[in-house]
Amino acid sequence: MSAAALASLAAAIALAAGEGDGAPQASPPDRPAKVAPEGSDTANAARAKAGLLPRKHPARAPDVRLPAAPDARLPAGDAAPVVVPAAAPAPPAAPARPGWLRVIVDAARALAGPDPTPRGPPSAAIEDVRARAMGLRVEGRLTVRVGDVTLGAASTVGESEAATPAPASRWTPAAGAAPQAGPAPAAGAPAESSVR
Amino acid sequence: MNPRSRLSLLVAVIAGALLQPPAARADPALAPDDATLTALALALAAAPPPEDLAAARVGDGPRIELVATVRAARLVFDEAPRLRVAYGGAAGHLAWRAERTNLPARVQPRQVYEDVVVRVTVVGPVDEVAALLEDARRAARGIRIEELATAEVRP
Repeated sequence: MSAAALASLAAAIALAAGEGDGAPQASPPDRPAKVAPEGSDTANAARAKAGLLPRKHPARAPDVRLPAAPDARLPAGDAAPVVVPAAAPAPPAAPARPGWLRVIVDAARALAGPDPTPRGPPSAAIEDVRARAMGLRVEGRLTVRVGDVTLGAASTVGESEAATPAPASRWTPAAGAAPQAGPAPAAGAPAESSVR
Repeated sequence: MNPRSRLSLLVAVIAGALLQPPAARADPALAPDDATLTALALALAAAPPPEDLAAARVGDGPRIELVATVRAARLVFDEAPRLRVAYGGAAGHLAWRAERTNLPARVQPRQVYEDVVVRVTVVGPVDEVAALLEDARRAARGIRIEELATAEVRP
């Protein structure tokens, strides 16, 4: 081990032992100390000079500072340093899931594929609706058929009661909302699952 | 894709849609599908319907039938709903029927209607129903939900 390494090690040990904290430290002797009888005045004086004897009267009281209580209602004795962790980054917002109407319509579209039949303008278009509703309850049921086959049906019940500060809304599958399949009723006859 | 495969796929899609946890569907305001169905029902209730549902149910391609029932303790129209009917009633095209309770065919703006029930049945090709729902989704921005205590008509 080189001298430099030893010096570094010594410095580290000194720091670990409290050097630099203001505690008195013994100076390295310039030459080998004379061996004095244990307990003699000379030995005690040397030990006191080296700071190895307990002080009878410390020069000043240790500087102890309690952290300020974060909450004035708490007693000072309970106060503890407040560690504020770094703010965690907000999790990325989950993409909005489409409503059940869009899910089923999109599925039906995908199943249908491109429509070879040329069609004119849509049969109807909703241009504007402006209304205020109180105590709203909405039920919906959607059935998809291809030819004589009923591919599936789904329904929901939603309630939107105005409240403060924001209206609550709840969606639950209605009774019998499980997807159903089966032969479609004859043309013109009411579908069992969709006309109540 | 054979019918059984299509059935399995659609059942899976529908089940996935219905099995979403309520929190995932909850919205701090009005649930989007609630608003869409409300706008759809109120618009169709105010328009003369092509009532040939039977003709609309038949056709080569897939058909969608939507039944929506909207109940409101109180309902006030700021304006009469506007629906443009370009074509309807023919076989294979869109048709609907509206049943109204405590709501006239021609609504009066700023009139308070109480205990209103509107039930509409819409049948038609997928694309046409989808287009109508898209319109309804857009029009739903004009519908507000208010507290019952503040239902008085405002000037």
